Amino acid sequence: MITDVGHIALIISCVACLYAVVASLLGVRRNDERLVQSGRTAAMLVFPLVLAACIGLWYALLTFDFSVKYVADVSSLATPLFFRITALWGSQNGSILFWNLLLSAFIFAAMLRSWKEDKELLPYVTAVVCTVTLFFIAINLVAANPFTRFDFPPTDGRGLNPLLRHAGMIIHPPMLYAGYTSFLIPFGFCIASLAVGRRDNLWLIKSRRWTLVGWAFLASGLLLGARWAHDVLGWGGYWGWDPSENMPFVSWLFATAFLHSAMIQEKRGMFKNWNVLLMAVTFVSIFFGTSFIRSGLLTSVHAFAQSNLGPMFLGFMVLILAGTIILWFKRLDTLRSENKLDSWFSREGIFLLQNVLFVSTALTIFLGTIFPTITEAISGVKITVGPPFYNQVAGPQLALLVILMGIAPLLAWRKANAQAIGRMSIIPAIAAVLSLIVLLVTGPGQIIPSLCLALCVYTFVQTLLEYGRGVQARVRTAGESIPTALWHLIRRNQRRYGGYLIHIGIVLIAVGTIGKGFYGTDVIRNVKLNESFSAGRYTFTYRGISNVTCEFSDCQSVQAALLVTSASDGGLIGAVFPHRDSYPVQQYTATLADITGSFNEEVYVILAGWESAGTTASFQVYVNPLINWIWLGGIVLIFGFLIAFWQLEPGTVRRTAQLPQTVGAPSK
Amino acid sequence: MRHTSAWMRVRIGFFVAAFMLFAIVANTALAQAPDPSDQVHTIAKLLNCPTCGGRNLADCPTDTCTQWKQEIRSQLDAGKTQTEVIDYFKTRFGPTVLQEPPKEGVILLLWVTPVVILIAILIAGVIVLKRISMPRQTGATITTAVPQVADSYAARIEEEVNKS
Repeated sequence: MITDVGHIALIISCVACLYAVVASLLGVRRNDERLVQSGRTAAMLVFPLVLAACIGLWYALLTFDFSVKYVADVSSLATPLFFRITALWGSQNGSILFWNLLLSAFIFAAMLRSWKEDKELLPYVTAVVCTVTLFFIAINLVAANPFTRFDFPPTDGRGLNPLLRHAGMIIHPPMLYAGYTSFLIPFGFCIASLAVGRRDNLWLIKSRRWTLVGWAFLASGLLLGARWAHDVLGWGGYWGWDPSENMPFVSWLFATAFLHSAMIQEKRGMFKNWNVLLMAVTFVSIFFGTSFIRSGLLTSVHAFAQSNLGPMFLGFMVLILAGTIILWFKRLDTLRSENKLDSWFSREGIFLLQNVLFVSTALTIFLGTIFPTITEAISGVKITVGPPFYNQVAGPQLALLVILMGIAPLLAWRKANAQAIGRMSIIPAIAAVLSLIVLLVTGPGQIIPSLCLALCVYTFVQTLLEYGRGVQARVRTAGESIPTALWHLIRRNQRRYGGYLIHIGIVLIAVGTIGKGFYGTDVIRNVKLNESFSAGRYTFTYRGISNVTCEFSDCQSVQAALLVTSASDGGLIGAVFPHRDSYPVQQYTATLADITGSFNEEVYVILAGWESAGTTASFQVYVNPLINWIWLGGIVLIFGFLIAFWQLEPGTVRRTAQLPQTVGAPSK
Repeated sequence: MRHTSAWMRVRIGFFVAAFMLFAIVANTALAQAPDPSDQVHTIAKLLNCPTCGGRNLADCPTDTCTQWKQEIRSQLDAGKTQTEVIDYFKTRFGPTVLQEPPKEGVILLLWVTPVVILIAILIAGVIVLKRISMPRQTGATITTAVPQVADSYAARIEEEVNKS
């Protein structure tokens, strides 16, 4: 009953969306403010309605209502409460409903604000965001309805996909979805600004925080996804250049390019055309990414959500793209640059280079992802584009971006001073050269990773010095103590110093990827009971195998025990218990690693197989140096985002929220 | 005064550098090259697993992969070289078994296009910016207030940094 109410609520939300679009556009045409406001109200109404639909589905999941097909697909009597709640996004149909929940929630939040300064944008924003939402809700009702029922309900369900029973998987999809969906709002502003034909930065300023939020959600979604893959797939890695990782990464790269080039428009009134295009491309890439992964056009580690939705998605995407481009062409004149470029050697110049690199890296990864589909369709040649391609082609570009990250903040707007930059680079350069020498002399002597690490050192030191220089200036001019100066420095310009902290997070992530990518090793060994083998600086002794109780009642678990000692002095390090869980219903076996080692060097052990009741068994050991720096970098990145986003000083907010016409006025 | 502050910066820099060096060296100094004796493993790293969607054979624990690894083992035992084993898999299953797409035929496009993209965007960007950097001859120049760096404090730091 409650489930049916949810279903009906979803149908009504579709109508509300349609009304919001029609009323807003009609309101503009007739210049009827009341109609526009009613469109806004209808748009806000979508959220409670979709929420009601979700509650309906949750109710079915919680009460084991297996007459609902979706419930039988993603849960069983044995599924614990927690996973029945998260099963809402455990498979295709439910995840689209969840997607709609997030979309409508963001719309609700965006509609709630005052709209005093940007009243003329309101009807267009409403129309754009509600059109997109209408499409997704319609898909949810017509092609991927989670409320469909069986004629003859089964007595038990299949249970949640074993791969998804992991904490990372519970937070990862909502994060990624939130990242994806929150870009709808800035996209709406962008199109609205084009439609109205405004010359200023209003849309950028009004949507900036949305973009930042979307960017951060995408970043954390990607990182959590990497962590999930690392923990669950039993392969020692964290990133496999799989389509479902590449597509969000591509969107993230576009969004990052946008966040940077938007700064140029704000400060210098340049790159306006480019920013509109970047926003459109970011949004379309999000759309394409979701449709491509769901279309079943490609095989992927986690393409658990395959269906025939592809053509519908692609059709709608082409519509969006065509509409945006037509509008863009019509408004090309209003997007003209307000300033000319004074010098190539300036912040503007280096931002151009950085934008070029971001976009070209994104397009490269995109190409690699869709290339197999294209070749198969055209020439029938089946190929796999594996990690070597991305590492060789996207890798160097990403490395260049890390260098630019260290240099760009030194360049002043308009025209930079080469001598000053040289002086400011001395300390970081010394640090980088020293690290390079030490790495080459005492390390394994590989030149490329050593160089990459040295570059990371350069950027890391340079970014820290950015804080140092600011603090020093404050100490000197205001006579503050160092901690106070740091606190004030950050508070006075949270966007800048939060941004630098994000840069530091990225450097740490880069160090982690270099460590694992170039210095990571793995061995696979078949051993008898009580036999030893070594990997890196560790010796493992196989102590036996046994059946253990599985975490879930629908699986059987076999666990091995190994003693870990130091290969050099034989000292005891610990024990590891890798296990394999088999799920007979889903016909799936999960290989779950046990981890030991230190923060700087992870040792990841899996049970690869066993014979004759465990008298022999094979193990694969991955030694992953620096991999934990990736997770550390992720935490730093999120922290940096919070600083950039959560502006404490009310003055900062007001200043940045001012219209461009008044920016020239002196601030206090 | 200027002397002492310069010193402080040098100290901060070296402290940071030392920290980074220590952390990195502590790790990688002892990292070892993959075990060359395990040739099956080396070959498996270069091949795709048929059942693990994109992951390499060595990183995939499924039964099919185990069979493939046994196949590699028996071919090596029969005296085949690494290239011969890889060629065997390539002729039998096509280029899709290779982790690294071969630089030949249609697939060459995959390797060339990114370079073309990079150069094309770079040139396009430079042309567009160059057009902007030329003084505009026709039409009224838009003289919207230049949104300068409104933060006087930021300007002060900028100045500070440039002169020190």
